Amino acid sequence: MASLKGRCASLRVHSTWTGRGLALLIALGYWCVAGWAHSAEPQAGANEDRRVEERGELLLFSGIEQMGNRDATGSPLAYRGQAYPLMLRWGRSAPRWSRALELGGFTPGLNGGRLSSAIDDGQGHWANASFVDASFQWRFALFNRGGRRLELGPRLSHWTMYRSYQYDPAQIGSVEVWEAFVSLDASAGLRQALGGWGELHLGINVPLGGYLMRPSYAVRGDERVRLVQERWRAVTDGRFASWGSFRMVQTRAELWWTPGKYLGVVAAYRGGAFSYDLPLDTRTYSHRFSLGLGLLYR
Amino acid sequence: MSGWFRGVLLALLLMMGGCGAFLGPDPANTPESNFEIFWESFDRHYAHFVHKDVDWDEVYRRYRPRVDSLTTDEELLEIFGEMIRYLEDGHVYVSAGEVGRVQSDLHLRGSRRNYDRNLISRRYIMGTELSAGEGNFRYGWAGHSLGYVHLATLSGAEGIGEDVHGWIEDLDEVLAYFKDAEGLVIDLRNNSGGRAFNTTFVASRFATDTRDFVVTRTRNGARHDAFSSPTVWKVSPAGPRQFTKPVVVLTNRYSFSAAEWLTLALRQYDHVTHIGTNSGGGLAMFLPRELPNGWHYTISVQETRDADGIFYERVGVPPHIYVENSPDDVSQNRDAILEQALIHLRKQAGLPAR
Repeated sequence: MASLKGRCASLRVHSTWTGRGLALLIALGYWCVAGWAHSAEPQAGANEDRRVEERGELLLFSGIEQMGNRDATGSPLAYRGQAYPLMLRWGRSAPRWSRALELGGFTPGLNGGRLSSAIDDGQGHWANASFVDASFQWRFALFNRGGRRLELGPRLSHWTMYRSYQYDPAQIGSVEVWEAFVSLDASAGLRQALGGWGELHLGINVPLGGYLMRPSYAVRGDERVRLVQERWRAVTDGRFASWGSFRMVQTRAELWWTPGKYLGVVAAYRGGAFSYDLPLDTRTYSHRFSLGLGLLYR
Repeated sequence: MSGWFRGVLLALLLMMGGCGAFLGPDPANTPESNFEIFWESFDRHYAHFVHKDVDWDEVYRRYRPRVDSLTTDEELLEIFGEMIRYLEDGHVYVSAGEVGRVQSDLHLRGSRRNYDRNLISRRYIMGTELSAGEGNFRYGWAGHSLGYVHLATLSGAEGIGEDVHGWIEDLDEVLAYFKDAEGLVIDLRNNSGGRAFNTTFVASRFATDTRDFVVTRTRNGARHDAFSSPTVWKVSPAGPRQFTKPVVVLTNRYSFSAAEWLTLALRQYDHVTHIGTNSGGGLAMFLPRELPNGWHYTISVQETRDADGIFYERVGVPPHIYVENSPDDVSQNRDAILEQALIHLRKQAGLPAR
């Protein structure tokens, strides 16, 4: 009997999550079809713009990220630091739409990820941080005239941020915490041609719906497997669905230079911030400055 | 076009400048601020208020009036010490650097007479006492066909699950040495604990099948009785050999934390008998925190019960056979706990009494 009850409980969890995933995909599909149907045709006489817009992009970015974090996990103090993220973007622009798949992140030991607090008692109060993000966006042109193009569309995004706080190395060791977020965002963008030599891209993403996972709040550094246990619990427990208090915004500014038919150089800024109150007050911001180099193809 | 650039640059500067406001200011490093943060973090995270019937609000009302801007570091540490003493929790302490350190439960541990390392080496080990695992295992024969192993700590080593590695792997070497023994004493007295995964590693060498041994729930809400769903810890047979002949595990009040987990894991099996005094009574996972003045402190954040749901925090795990070393035992250079263990093993193994 107990076994049967256990099976039913698992099925309910499975069913709930299948349902949520399906609903998210249906919403995404509906938005894409609607966006395609209503997207703007390029204006007559804008053949030059149209020819330029039809291209594929494969770009590799590298740069520096300044970030700040306050997490009620263990310290009342804010932590600030920097990392050197790597990003890969694969996208395509067409007259009526553009889409892009982007992967990025940083981790200690490879490309940075070190935060420090302002406390100065000689014992070292720091945290290692890792960040991984992945997104797929598909935006549709609502306005496309005179070298200026306004786009709006859905974006499916995920990020995971992991932090290991070191309070008292001599006595205790570290405290580790992570959070992971999956969301469906509204993504808006503006492209402005710059005198035939390049483009300015501006963008903003705001989540419409999503799910935040976070363990009870932390685990001790020598028991990392609890991260996995707590992660699964966070998924199945449902107590960490912090959507009610979650706030996030991401902005982007990119300056494109196309010195050759197949070469693209991009100076990019990405700024983001998120905060939530449950299970604990947590705030993080980041400024990511990067330079991208890549292949443009038709 | 320059208007575009100016607008974008201005927006970027505004965003970057606003980040300090987004995170908010750091709290002040004053006695009052440190007190408030200290009290509140226990109120929000400590796991045993309900189990121990501690009125934390009353503690605030009692001690808050004693703190003002003129309170010295020494006075503040004394106040913190008095506050955490209500919790009687071995995993709670405040470390204030040169000012000092206060602990919550040392008054509960009682006498240290229930373990004397030199006495065991001198009187009970026959022949040479051996050591392994960077000195953390001391072992030898404590009678005909009866082995004795003292495990000093469960700290150190690395890895999780079956991938634990480091000094603790020498346990297999120790058990190989005792492969012909008819019984074995595992002495966990004065073992102050360490890593949970070292616990399951050791217990796996005595396991006959998979058993639950500890269930934890983490405090995760503002209410004192708000906890996560449970996590069940299991122990399973692993390694080159399991010792399944009679085993006695010894504890005293200084067998603490992961040593208590190991005791609970071993007690799941019928061939293991627990002898000595209650263990230390501190089974919860704790987390470190810091205050604006740089002091560190720890908070027990998990409710930990055995597989039957029994809560041993503060009282410790009671042995199957309770034995203490009396002052007379000490004056006569006797370890009554170990002697009882050897008598019990001989009986279990069908060996003649000495």
